[in-house]
Amino acid sequence: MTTYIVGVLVVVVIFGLLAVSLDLLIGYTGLFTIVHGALFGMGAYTSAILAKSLGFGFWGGSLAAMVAGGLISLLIAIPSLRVSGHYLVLASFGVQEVLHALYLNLDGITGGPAGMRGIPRPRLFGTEITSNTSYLMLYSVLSALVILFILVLVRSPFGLLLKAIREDELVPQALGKPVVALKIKAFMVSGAAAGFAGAMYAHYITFVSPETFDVHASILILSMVLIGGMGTLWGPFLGAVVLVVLPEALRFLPLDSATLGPLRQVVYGMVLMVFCFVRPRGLAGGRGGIE
Amino acid sequence: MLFVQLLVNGIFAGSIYALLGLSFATIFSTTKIWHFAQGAVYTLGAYVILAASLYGKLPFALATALGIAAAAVLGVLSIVALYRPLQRRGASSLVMVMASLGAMVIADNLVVLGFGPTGYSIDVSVPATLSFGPVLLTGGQMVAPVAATIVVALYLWFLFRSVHGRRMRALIDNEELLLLNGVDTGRLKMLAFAIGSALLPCAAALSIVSGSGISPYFGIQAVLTGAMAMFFGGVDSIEGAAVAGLALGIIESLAAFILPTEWQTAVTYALILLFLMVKPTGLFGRSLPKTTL
Repeated sequence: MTTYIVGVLVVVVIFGLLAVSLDLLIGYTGLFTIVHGALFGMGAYTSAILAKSLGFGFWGGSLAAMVAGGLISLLIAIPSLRVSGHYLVLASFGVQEVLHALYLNLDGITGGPAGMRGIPRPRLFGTEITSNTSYLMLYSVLSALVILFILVLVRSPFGLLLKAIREDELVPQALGKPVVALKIKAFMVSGAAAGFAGAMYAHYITFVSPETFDVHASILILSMVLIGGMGTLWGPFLGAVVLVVLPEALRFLPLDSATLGPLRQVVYGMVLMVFCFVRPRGLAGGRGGIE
Repeated sequence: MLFVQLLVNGIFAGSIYALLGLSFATIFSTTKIWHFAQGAVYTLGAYVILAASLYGKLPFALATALGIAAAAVLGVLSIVALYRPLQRRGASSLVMVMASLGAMVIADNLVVLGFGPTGYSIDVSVPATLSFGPVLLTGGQMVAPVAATIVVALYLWFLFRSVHGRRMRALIDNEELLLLNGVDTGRLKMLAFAIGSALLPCAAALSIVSGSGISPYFGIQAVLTGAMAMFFGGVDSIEGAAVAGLALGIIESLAAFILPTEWQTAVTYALILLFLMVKPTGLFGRSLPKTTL
């Protein structure tokens, strides 16, 4: 039982990092994308493939996952240089589908629909991490470091400029600020953090498969950000706690798994709707409409 | 010959995509709402057709009519019960998108609870398969383009010849001017939601006729296809979305000429996105959308 609870907490830590990294884009810079699930997958597959074929460990794999996540995120950023808003939604959704198709169809590299098994566990000072408790400690520290980095980033002048872009892109532009470069940096940091979360996930579950990284994963991460409160960082983390723990709690209802799965999704959808109507600024934000 | 066969397949897929594109464009261009719950309307419409013809033993055409009516009601409900109350509360467009996604998640999974996670297919009597040498033309492939052309023609007639249609096109460009002329744009938007939603079961029916099964989670794909078609055609051109949808189907099918079939969709999306980066106004669009998310 304790192992189970600690295991859930490890997932909370991973999704918390994902939600915080997406908040940097949505909450701070005002860039709405539906692709975080695929970026998460990019990190997971990168580290998994490197571990299986080149014998990379967790640390090397994580580094590569961050680079991969950042680069793919850069790819999505390119459309936002020319056009914004609605096009970014379409482009990110399109990239999500393309990446998911890659995970699903590159059989020789990703293992196709069957996924990849036997991804090695992380090693720390020569010992392999096996228990959920050690995972929780290691991942909490790593996740906290990345979140701290993002926190410092948004408190810095750089973060203020991101907020200025969110409020009105023309103002920082008129002041001679490099709006395009700022957006690209936000995209890359966010993507790199998502890639890192992916690597942590792959080396924890030790198995990756395409359906974990489909559009519904992206929607789930978006929901965490909204429920927690956009533009607050700790809010989205709280959102991740709610949306990971709540479905797990439903597991204890006396229902067969065929009913439980969809029922969990219905509950999650309802939570999301309630927040949209009652607390559109999330748990961390105040009452009322958005700014 | 493979090329001709792929072209035939492409025209068939394209006629369904044209309807999806029209549906998305009708709602998006007039209201600027990312109506992801359209995916749920598509799924629910398809399941109404399924329930009516499988359990109600109704003829397929009648079942489709029921599906269309149900979808139109759901469309009006989405704006009246979902988007308008949210707008009244001052919700940002981001919150509206999330509410839309939430509604889709709920509806899709209620379908799973009601009908199970596996897909269904319905047997519809269609003309027998014709063969022109090595090129095969199935019954569904004959029916779909004809039916789609009729629906698109009727809709375009409405859009360009009727008062409400003209007002809907005016709504794309300038809502304030319409309001100044004493037009109730709120009702006009409800009409757009009703028509846009009613087009979805038409598309679903055509894909059922061709023997494709329906399953609970296939709605979101329809939304993406519709959105791709609309942006490809140009955001301010409803009729452009129909042409772009047809083109999308043909491109997707012809992609199989050089690539394995499982890459069709991914390659098509990538091509459209590249095209939009070069020409954001799309094939027929004149201007870019003003509002940003």
